[in-house]
Amino acid sequence: MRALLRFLRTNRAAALAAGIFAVLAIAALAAPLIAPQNPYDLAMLDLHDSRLPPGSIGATGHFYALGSDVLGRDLLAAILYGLRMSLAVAVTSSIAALSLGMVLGLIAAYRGGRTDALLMRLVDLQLSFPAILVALILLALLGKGLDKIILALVLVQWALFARTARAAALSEVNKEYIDAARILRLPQWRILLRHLLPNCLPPVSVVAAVQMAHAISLEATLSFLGVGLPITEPSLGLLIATGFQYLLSGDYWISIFPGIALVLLVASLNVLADQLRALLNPKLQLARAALPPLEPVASKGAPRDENAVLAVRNLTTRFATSQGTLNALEDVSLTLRRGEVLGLVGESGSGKSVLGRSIMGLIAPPGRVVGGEVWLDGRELQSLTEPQRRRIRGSRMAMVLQDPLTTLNPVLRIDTQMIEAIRAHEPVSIDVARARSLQALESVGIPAPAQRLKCYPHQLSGGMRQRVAIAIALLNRPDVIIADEPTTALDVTIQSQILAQVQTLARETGTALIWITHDLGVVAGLADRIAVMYLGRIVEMGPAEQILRAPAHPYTAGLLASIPSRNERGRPLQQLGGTTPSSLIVAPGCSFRGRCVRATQECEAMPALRGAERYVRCIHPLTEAAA
Amino acid sequence: MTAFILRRLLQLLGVLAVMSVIVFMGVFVIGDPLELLINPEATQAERAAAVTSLGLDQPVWRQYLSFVSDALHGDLGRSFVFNEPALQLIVSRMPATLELALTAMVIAMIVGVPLGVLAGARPQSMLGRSIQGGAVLGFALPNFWQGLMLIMIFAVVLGWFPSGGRGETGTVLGIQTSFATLDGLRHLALPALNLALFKLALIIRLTASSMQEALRSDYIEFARAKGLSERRILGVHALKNVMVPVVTVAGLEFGSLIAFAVVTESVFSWPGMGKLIIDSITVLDRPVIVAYLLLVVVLFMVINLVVDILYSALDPRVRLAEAN
Repeated sequence: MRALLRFLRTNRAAALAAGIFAVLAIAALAAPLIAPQNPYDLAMLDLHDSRLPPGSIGATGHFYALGSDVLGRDLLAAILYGLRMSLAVAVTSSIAALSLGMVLGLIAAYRGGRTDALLMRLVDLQLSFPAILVALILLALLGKGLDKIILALVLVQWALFARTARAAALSEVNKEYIDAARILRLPQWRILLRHLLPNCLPPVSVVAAVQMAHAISLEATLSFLGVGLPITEPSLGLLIATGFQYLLSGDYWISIFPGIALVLLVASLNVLADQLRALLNPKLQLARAALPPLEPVASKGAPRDENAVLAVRNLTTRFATSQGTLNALEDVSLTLRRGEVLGLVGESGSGKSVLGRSIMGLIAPPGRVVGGEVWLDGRELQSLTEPQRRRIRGSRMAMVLQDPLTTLNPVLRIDTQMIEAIRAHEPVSIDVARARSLQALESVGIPAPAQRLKCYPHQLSGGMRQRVAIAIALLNRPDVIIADEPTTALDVTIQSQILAQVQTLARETGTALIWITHDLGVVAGLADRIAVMYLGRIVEMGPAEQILRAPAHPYTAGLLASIPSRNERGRPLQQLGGTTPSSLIVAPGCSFRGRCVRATQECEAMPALRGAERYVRCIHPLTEAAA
Repeated sequence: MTAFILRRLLQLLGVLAVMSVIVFMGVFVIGDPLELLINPEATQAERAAAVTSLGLDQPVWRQYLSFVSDALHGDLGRSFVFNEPALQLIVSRMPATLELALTAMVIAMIVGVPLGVLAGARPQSMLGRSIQGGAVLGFALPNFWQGLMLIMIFAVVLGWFPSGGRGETGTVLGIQTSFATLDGLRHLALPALNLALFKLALIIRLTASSMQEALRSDYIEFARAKGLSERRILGVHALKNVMVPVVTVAGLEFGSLIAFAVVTESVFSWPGMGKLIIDSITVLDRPVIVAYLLLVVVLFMVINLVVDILYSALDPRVRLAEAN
């Protein structure tokens, strides 16, 4: 209840809808008090007052606030009684359908097997026919009447409740405590119900709100068509139908006012259901939460390297989250020479992928590169407009992603995805582009490339798909390729094949590589230099063999010690103590000090990245070679 | 592909057999076929003749067989009101309904997909929010009420379009259609728009949510990394994936358009199957009701089949799964 109140306080649309619904519902309930004279009492009909406009006074002195209808009924009173009927029909039919659907859904989930298959088949069949058609046919065979319309509404509504309840129940039925109860021969039903009901209620209540709106709308529609409630019963649909013929002659109120009441009722319920659904879905909530603004950060002026093909200076990237600002990348500087392979190493969440995407210019809201520069071949990229930046992406710098199964577009053929990559940057004919694509596939060792070009991604293996992705990255002979763990998802044998091939290709074409990985074993054989990242910062950088042989930063040393193959047989495996702290909590000082055995008081100030060829961000490095 | 279609056709026949039993039970076993199928004003002699001709003195299984055989021969009884074979009557009204439903679907797709793409690509923008909000309302408001509002605004107040009827039809390829004359098109505009609104809202919501999902995927990031234009990323890479669920749903919803045509046709006095069934229910012209029921079931089955085939044509992964 408190959660509901907070929800209404923070959500204006929901509060407005709830308010409108409450006013209409109370007015409908209080109809006999507001209009003591039942307009549907046949004895009270006064045809003299037929079709009086709003605000008139009738022959007997009765004041018609909203006018009167064809039979001389007070329209306001008729609308209130109609609302009452709408709500009564909707509530009755929805509760009956909910009960029926829940029971059947729970039985289906609990019994499983044949019962489940049969019931769900029935649900599918029912739902494949539109509700209005099913209701119409039923009423055509059964005839008009209040009981019949409720029956028809129950029959069109139960299926959705059954499906929702079954889905919620299934997630619970497969849990271990149910198995345990089964083995212990405990009354499973009771146990199940105690856990199931709280689990089912949120999704079922959203469905109930939608279905109530639907039932109100359906009853009005059927009555409007003359197949729902008989003319003697109060119904908004019937009121609108009788007023419809006078709409063209200008007596608008007879149909418009009941229509407005109906629309407000149905729309408020729908908006409520919509907002409730968003409340129950955390994914949608995150998108709606107010995000903190991201302030730009001034550049600190890292030194420039004239030989570098890529120079990243003081790059800082932040993400706005509902819990605050996340510093994913903090003041990162690095350089890359032509044809060089840089291994970028770190644990998950260290910011290595964010660095790759920041260099590519692929950070999208809620993230933003808030400071720093990216120099490619003497040109600064951060100051470029998005179209200028786009022309560089894919031509001067390219990227390969981690999961080959999701990297390629599943509904486009390989040739389409390769040819477009060329033609986005160069005005060549499709034939030329196709020939170059063929060559690229050959160069990454794909057999029968001409046939592979005509394939869809799902027709190729994971390793093959990653080779295609690498071929696409190579298509325009870029200066830099950023490879984000491209072999992590592959078999070890395929991994080493691809690594060897990429190394050769990079050497042949002079393409520099940033190879992102958490696997030091991979970079050992591939990289010229290594950069180690921890919590968005580079903590150590330098020639690969030096770092692997004699790590200076305690974190690097810890990473190296945890590689199983480097340990002697029989000795217990080393592991890095503690876990990576959240980058949401910005504590001053060295971010590794919580896990570091060498940490002292001095580490409470953030150490600078010191060194020339070999850099380390540590006050107590393991080797002094770096400093 | 052929095997796939054949298997679906067999499934379709199975469902049809089940539906024929249900309809038969509804009319002959639970209901009183004499009341359902014979004109209430018939004399005693006519009733006796009908009992024999309907075979009501026969055992139930024999009655079912003759019901099926009659139905297969297109004999579903005669309309009391029009004194015409019921099936023929409905089929004669079908082109008007199909024309209406088709136009509505085209409107819903042509307007809905681009709006959905916009709302999905920029969900936080003012435009995206308004499109989404409009879709919630379009979804929520009763269809007949939307129809009344269209009449009120465009026929009564502005006077741009007629408020009802089918208007003049012309003949194209031997089919009577409203597309052939300007008057026909003017009459078609409002009912088609009315019928389209509900589906329009649905297609916008579906396109927007599929779009948002597609834009979060790796292949979109990879497409951006290739330096493709925003237009190509949204219009080809994302849209082609979005179209798979959208076309499936649009196809499935075509059946529901024919169902909802009942409402629109009644509001706009459009002389199609929907108006016929409502009129028939009002005057208890039961053979027409039964014929309509069977015909609609067949129609739905056919639509489901066509959608399945379309779906496999759109999504290469489904093709593979079926081939294996």
